[in-house]
Amino acid sequence: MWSSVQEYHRPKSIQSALRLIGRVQPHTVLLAGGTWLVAMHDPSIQAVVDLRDLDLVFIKNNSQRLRLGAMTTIQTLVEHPLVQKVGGGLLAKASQHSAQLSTRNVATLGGTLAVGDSTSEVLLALLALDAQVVIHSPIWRETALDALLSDHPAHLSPQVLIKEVYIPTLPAESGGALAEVRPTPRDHPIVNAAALVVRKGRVCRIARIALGGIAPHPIRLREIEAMFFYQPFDTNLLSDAAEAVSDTMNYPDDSRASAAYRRAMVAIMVTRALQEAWEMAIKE
Amino acid sequence: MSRPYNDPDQMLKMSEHPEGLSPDEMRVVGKRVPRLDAMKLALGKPAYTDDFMPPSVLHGKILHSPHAHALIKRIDTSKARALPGVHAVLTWQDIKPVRFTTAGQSHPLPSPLDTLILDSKVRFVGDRVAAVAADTPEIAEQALALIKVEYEVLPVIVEIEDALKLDAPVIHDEQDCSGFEGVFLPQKNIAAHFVAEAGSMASGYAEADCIFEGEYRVPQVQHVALEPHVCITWLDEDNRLVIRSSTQVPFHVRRILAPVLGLPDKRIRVIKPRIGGGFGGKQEILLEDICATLTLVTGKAVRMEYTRAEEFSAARSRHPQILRFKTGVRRDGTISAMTLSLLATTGAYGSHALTVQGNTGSKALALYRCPNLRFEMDVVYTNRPPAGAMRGYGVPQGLFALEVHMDEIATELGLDPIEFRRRNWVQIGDVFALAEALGEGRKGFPNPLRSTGLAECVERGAQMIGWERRRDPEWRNVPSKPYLRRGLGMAVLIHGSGIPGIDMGGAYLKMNDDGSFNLMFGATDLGTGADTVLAQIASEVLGCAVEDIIVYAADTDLTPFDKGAYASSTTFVSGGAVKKAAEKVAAMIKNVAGRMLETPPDKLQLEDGCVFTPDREGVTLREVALESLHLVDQHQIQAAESHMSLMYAPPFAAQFAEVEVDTQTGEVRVKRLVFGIDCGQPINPDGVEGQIDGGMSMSLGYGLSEEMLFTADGHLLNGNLRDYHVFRADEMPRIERFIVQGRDPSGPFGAKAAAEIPTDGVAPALVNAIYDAIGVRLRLIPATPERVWRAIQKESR
Amino acid sequence: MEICLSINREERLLEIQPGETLFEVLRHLGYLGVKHGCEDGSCGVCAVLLDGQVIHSCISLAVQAEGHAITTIEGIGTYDHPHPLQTAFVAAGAVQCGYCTPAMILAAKALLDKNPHPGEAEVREALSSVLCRCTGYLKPVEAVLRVAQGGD
Repeated sequence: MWSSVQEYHRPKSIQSALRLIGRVQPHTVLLAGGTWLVAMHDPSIQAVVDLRDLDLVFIKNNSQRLRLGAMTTIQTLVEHPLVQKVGGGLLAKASQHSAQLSTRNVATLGGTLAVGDSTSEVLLALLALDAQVVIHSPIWRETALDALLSDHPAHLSPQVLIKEVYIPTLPAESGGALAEVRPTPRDHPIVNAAALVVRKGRVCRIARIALGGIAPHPIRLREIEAMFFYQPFDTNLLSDAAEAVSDTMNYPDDSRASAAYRRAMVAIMVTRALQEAWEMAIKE
Repeated sequence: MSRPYNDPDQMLKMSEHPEGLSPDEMRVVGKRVPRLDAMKLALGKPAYTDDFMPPSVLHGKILHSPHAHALIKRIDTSKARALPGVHAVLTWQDIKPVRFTTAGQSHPLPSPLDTLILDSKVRFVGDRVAAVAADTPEIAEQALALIKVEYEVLPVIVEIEDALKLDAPVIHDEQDCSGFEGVFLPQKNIAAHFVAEAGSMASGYAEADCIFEGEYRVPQVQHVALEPHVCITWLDEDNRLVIRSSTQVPFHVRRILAPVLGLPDKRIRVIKPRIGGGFGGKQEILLEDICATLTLVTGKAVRMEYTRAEEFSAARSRHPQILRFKTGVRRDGTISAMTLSLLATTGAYGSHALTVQGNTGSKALALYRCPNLRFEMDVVYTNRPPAGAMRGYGVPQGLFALEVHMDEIATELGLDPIEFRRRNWVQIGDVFALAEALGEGRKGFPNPLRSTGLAECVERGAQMIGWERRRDPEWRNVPSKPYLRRGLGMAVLIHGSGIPGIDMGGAYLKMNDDGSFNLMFGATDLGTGADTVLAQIASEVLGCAVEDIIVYAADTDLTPFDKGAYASSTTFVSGGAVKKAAEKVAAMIKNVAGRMLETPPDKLQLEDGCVFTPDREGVTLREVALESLHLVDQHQIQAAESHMSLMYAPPFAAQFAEVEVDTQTGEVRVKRLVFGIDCGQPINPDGVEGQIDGGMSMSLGYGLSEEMLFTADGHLLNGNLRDYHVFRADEMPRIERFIVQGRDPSGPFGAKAAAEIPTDGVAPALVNAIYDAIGVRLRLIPATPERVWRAIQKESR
Repeated sequence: MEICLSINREERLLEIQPGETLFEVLRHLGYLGVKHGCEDGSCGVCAVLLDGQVIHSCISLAVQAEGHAITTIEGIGTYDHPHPLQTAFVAAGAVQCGYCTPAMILAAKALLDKNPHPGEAEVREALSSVLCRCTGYLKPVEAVLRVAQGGD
């Protein structure tokens, strides 16, 4: 029993939700799916605000963007036909790799974002898809996903309300791929990368690369992406990029893996993800 | 007329089938009989310890130590006691200190008596500091938080080698701990020291044309039974203490706890309901002692259940070991001498320290023919969660090292790995040179090998996995993934069927009015299917349906003694008792039926729930029951028998593995596993296959993904199921297994064990397959991506 | 607080506390086929169906189930009328200690109700919600495939 929780609210409007979490006392947080929050049993939390009645479950697209409501479950991202088309299936596939089915049935897009797990495949895919997030913190605003994650080294406060995530529509000649290092096929990734490329002929128009397992949250490698802007996509470019990636960052050293191993793996994962994304873009 | 239960001739005839039937002709033995309790469990019926609650029960919780090594200087429980809803708060000051071992084993206990219910010193992060009983689990947790403890922190030993350093702190410096003389050396942090030798090592190595040495390391891993440790205790209306517990050793629990609780055995009753997995982790007295003490203090029923976090940090685990082999080999590829030196840690308490490591020696050195053998072991205390019994019991450790070592030798000699082993593995008639010295804490019983199907296991397994593909360079490459390499590896395996001369089980069988039978035995089904196997044995002898055998087991008041579920003894030993009891009952039935049918009893046959004359005249078992219970010369048709075996009847197996190694990342993917077993006559092939499937998965985790990781000050880093990875359904390799038909004269219907041998092989087979794939030899597990990657980097320099 | 939900097709009005998990409430009500194996949704033996989808009851607040339909193992079969999955698990030898069996059967049911003829990969994905230390998943997968191929 999560004994500290004395109040449960299920507001019907976003204003009510905001008012509830804006209170100083009791300590109130937002409840999405709960797969992370309920497992924590944080004894400082006294009230929860369930977001399920706020019409935040939706997947809509127009010519410019695909909009995903924050309470959309991860399993919906696996199955929904519109999501399966995005980035050559990158987001749907990443969602399927991210957790077991029973967790995916309940975990939400917004909750996944708020937790910001360093190797979250969903977040990697969204970063590679240049996702933008609509949040209320402290007022309504839109922000790029990587900026939001890097602004919050710990978890996003469970008092920040995420409304939706949207992905700009991609042109046809694009492809996306995920590459991971995992001790077993279903163990947590040690290091992973997602890549998206948009091509024009043999030239790479845009590349986006996201990396997990290196920082507190997944990160986007914008400096490396710049190397690909309107460049012919070949092995030289790839190895230059891999070298640049290796040099750029600090690599954590812990009981799962050493810094040296992570450094070596990042180069390989980025190369493989880009290679596979390119091959998919060619097939399109 | 009585005969000794351990009469060798009797035991050697255990394999006889009733009426001289062949395996194919038997009705239920050897058949895929559905488990008696499977539907009950598939329907979700209440069956486990926590499913039956006395009317009012208190909840017990333990305060665990945050320090790996410390003295409790002061402990203030006043606030905790004052909390409404709290019925008891106990510390070391409240309990008369009686040192015991948590290891559930036979008398005399071979594990050191080094544990108190509550002690004034803590020796690992997770060790007990205090215990609380309260109205709800939440109140109990709150009470724990109100207990104020002042510790004097002591230096910590985590690494095995550090325990033996001259300046190492003594972990068990108490005056009242005890163990076997010459074996138990606590002042040196040694929980068990043992040396055994046979033949002459000097001449053995002198005969050798090459000598090979290797050092191998295996990690501390967890059972991860899905049901945590759980126990409910209460005082019944006769003021007897009743313990209902998820335990593999109900009789040992009663005997071991009696002096600790200050109660005579006769005032204690232990009941084992259905268990949700144990794998050796429940061959321990882990909660029963403290739960019972809380009941005795409060006078009320108390329930205690571990959380998963407690399962990781405060339960038991597999002994990690450093193994050194030194093997002398003659030019013809035969082994002339072998030494195994073992250094292990048992963690903070010595449960199973002598016997697990002793078993490593007694199996690893018994697989290959060699008259000159030396075994040396030291098991040290460290400030880690204690190790204890875990499925395989020292053999997964030993066979990992041995089978990688054998593969290395084969490579050096330029021999096929299978061929080198074939030249050396044991044959019928061989006697294990160290059998007498390594008898699990007592003198052992050397006797010749009477059955082996190892050659067939290896031959069929090699064919199934496509062993010849190793010679095909094309096969090693994976199209479109130039960084992947394929490889094949194998291991041959040996284990035991019970502990000769020590393990004993009893069975009691009685006939009911309708011709059904109640079968009572102490044997402990923990999901192994023992209840069904034992019912099958009785059913085969009695000629009745398996459903006509009503099983009740593992209740110290109502069932005969059984040492419990460990050492792969249930089919071989407990099954022997059931067979004997059934044979006696069959004889009594024939006596009654003979009078009814006016035919000499020895001419009668039990078949299809009836008794038939040679002319096929018959009476039903029901008619016999009514006759004997109610009509003439009334008596209860019943029998009570025991069985203990001095015989050596090891099962054998062959494990094959196919892997794909990513040469850039070091990731290893096991694609296929093939396992062949010789377990003599399988009593229930579904049961044997089930044991193989689960055991192999455990061995797969051992080889690839599982390891308890600690900080320098003894904290467990990955004590949860997210960070400690157990294989899931959607990442398993393709598995094929087969059972070789065999028969050992010392087992019931020719059966040998099958329960533990499947945990021995995947780890060495996959490490050998990695070598085959990329020419890199790991000598430790798990084969994590980084370890493989580092080995590749090193090799390529 | 009071919540209204259905458990095994029976409408229930329950008095619960906001911090109570669905797992605790179900066991208190006597649905003992729901089991305790961990506290963070990683082992799966607490699995139940919510509107036909498998979820972990130990990391769901009971109040989150309000207005939904919960199915436990007790609701899908009896001794006289076992569910085909229960029959198949027994016949295939897929029940060893049995502790994960109700969760596996529910996970399989959720799959078959949505997709009556799945392939092996889909069956394995469905069963991946539940950890098993006894069976290596082999016989459970066989049992589910038997039902799937039997046209149920």
